[in-house]
Amino acid sequence: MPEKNLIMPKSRVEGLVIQELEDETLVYDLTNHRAHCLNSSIARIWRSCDGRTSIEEIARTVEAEFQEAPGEPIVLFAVDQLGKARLLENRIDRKLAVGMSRRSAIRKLGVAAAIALPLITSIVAPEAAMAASCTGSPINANACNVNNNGRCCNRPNNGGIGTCTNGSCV
Amino acid sequence: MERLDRLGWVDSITFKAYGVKIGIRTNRAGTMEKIIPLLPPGWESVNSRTVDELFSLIVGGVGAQPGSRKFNILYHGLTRVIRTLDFDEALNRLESAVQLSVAEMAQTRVFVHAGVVGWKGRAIIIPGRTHSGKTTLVSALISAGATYYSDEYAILDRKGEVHPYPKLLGVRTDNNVQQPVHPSALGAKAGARPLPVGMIVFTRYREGVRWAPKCLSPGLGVLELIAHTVPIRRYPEKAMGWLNKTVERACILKGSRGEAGQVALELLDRFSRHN
Repeated sequence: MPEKNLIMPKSRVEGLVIQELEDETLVYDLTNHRAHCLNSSIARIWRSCDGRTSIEEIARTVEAEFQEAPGEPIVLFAVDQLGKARLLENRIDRKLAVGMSRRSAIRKLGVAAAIALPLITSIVAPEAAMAASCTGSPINANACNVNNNGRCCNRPNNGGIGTCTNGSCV
Repeated sequence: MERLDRLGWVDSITFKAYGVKIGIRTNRAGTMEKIIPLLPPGWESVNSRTVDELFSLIVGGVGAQPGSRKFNILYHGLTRVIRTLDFDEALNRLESAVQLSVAEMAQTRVFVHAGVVGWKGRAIIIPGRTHSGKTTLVSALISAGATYYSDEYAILDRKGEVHPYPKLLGVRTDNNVQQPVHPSALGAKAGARPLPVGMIVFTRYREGVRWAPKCLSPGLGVLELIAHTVPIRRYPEKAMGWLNKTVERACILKGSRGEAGQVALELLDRFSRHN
């Protein structure tokens, strides 16, 4: 396992549409049509991932902002999330982030710091047909076929109403 | 396409809606009278030999053999959309497919699948998929005095304002079939001018649930809107940018709701306090 001071995460730029709001950063990944909302904490850590700054160094900057809260667990937690969201060019060894679930991060950081816990929220952007209306009374999911694209259907396992798309109820 | 072109089309229309040129052709005289009322609001006839999207409707009806029937078949370009003995179903799919094409390809507007009403000079947007209950909530809001803007799409411009899309409300009957209802039947006026957005409500009906929504940040609001934005994959940068403008000064709520009547009153009250 590499030493933490040798890990220098690098944020991805290629294939991303990045838009800044006042306290959040929105990212649209053109390669997999996923959209992400980064809160201000994780957005700052992401911007620090320049491929030349180690996790230890980023952590020192974070400690200054979080005052008494330990910077390294926060940065490891953040970098793990960024890696999972494919917003880094090099994903860190997950063993470094062992135990850093959101719940354990809040426990380590304390409630006050948890307000600024670095977080990403992500969704898959829908295809056009999935974002629009289906038609007709809902049919069973297994009745979807290539002749009834756009028909309303009942998704399996009480998954609500979907749209027949190329033989599947999505 | 050549084979389809040779099928013997007797009537056609070419029109523009939100900058998208659409052609519809059919093999049966008199069919266009049934198609024209289904065209998107604001459509205008154009004289053009080329279109962005072409729909071909083969009307079935009685077959050659006694007692036999022929299928109604709808094509979008070369893709068969539906093959059905039910002519009304074919028309419904044509309407839906034309709307979707316009919603996906329009360049000067971003279409979000949502109901919209106007209240005190601002818009309330209710994004939601079919059967989420948004038409019921829109109906309840306009019965409470809001102005009708749309129950199908929120039409956003680059300033983040929302324009009317005055299609008839598709109110569901007891057997789950949509019936077109004019807003005046609910005592409502239809809005005419674009409005800035004052509130965005992400909700779906759950029987017996108490309405206790949480507030979302602007970023999370945009993320939720993306799930209902028709052209997001085609024009992600433009769509996301215009969504950002839309949420700038809006109160964004998310939560399940019970009966629409009471929720509508609570929404309008909360709206007045926030704005």
